[in-house]
Amino acid sequence: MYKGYVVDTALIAKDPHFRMGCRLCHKGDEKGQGKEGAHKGLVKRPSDSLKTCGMCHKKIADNYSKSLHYTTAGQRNGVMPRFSKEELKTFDAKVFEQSCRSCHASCGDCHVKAPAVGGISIGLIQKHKFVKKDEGKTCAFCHGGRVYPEYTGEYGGSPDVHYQKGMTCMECHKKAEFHGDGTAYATKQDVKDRPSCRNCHKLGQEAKLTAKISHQRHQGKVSCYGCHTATAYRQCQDCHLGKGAAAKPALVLGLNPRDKKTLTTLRLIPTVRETFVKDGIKMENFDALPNYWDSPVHNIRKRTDRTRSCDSCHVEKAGFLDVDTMIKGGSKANQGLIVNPKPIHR
Amino acid sequence: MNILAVLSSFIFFFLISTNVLASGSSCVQCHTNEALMKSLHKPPVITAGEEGEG
Repeated sequence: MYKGYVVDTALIAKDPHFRMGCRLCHKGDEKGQGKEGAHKGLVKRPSDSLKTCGMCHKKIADNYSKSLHYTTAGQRNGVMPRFSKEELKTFDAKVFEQSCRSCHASCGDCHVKAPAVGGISIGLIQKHKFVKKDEGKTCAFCHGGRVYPEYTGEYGGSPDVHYQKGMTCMECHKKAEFHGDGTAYATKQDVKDRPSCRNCHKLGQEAKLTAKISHQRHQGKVSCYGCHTATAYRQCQDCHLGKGAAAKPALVLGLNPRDKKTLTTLRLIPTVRETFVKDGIKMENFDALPNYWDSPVHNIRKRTDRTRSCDSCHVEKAGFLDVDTMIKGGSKANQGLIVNPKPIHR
Repeated sequence: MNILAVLSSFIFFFLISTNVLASGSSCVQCHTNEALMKSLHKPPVITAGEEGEG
């Protein structure tokens, strides 16, 4: 889209980022003839090198170099237990650096130019203004397959109640989550001060007695998502099979693979047995991890089928992972996530 | 030597304070011209199987 390349003249006069000229960040040849001449040696994404922004924003750039949005270490560490030592070496060389790492977010992806997904980008967010945030043009692009359309309801289900109340991504996900705090975390679960429902919704402060009792009964046994996810959410049913992506909606409830004791919303993850075969990786320890992972779904509602009626879980067992609904040919570890809710004695 | 250093600093801060370096460049002349950008723009080629599913 050509508008994504147009710079606001007024900005140049007042924004200090422009004071040292375009070449400071973008290189190129200002005296070159025509587009080709001027673009010779051009750096399209200057902030791919953190040194560019680090010239002035050193502390932020230093921290960001260790942030998960930059290192994408979560992707590597999430799949790593499936590999033998030799396979991990192959994965690091052939897959992680070539593929996963290419998805890292640069400073500019959030502050200047919307990130490209599948080669498509809307270009400059606000005519090269260095914006503090614009979630709809930044977060929504990289997380536009599952999270963002679930949140806004564009995926077909109910929009998240927080979205309806006017909340955007950064109301819950704070700046430090993105910029990092200087610690190189292995996964997002390790990050301090992650969003938590209880930051706002304190236990014991429920308006209704039924809600108070229900929360007390299920505390430590069921995650908030388990009851408050509104509808089916996207599952990577046929994704990463070499045929492009084809997600399907489903509600899947089962044990959180990380603690094996909390019932929560599960999402089918894109790694199947054949995922890395073309790279020469069979995944010798594929069954070490399940195909389903705990997922903080973004379609929260106060009232859902499960909050309206205990029977939804305790009689109908709606959405509960079982052998029949489980992915065929999946990991043996999937069996360990099955929960059989106890009947209620009335 | 000291005079040179002072003079250089003066010129540097003058350029910074006035945005002279950016506003006078050919980059700015083209990239602030919407009609020119429209005429030069080539839509990207969409490759199948690269949908964003993040």
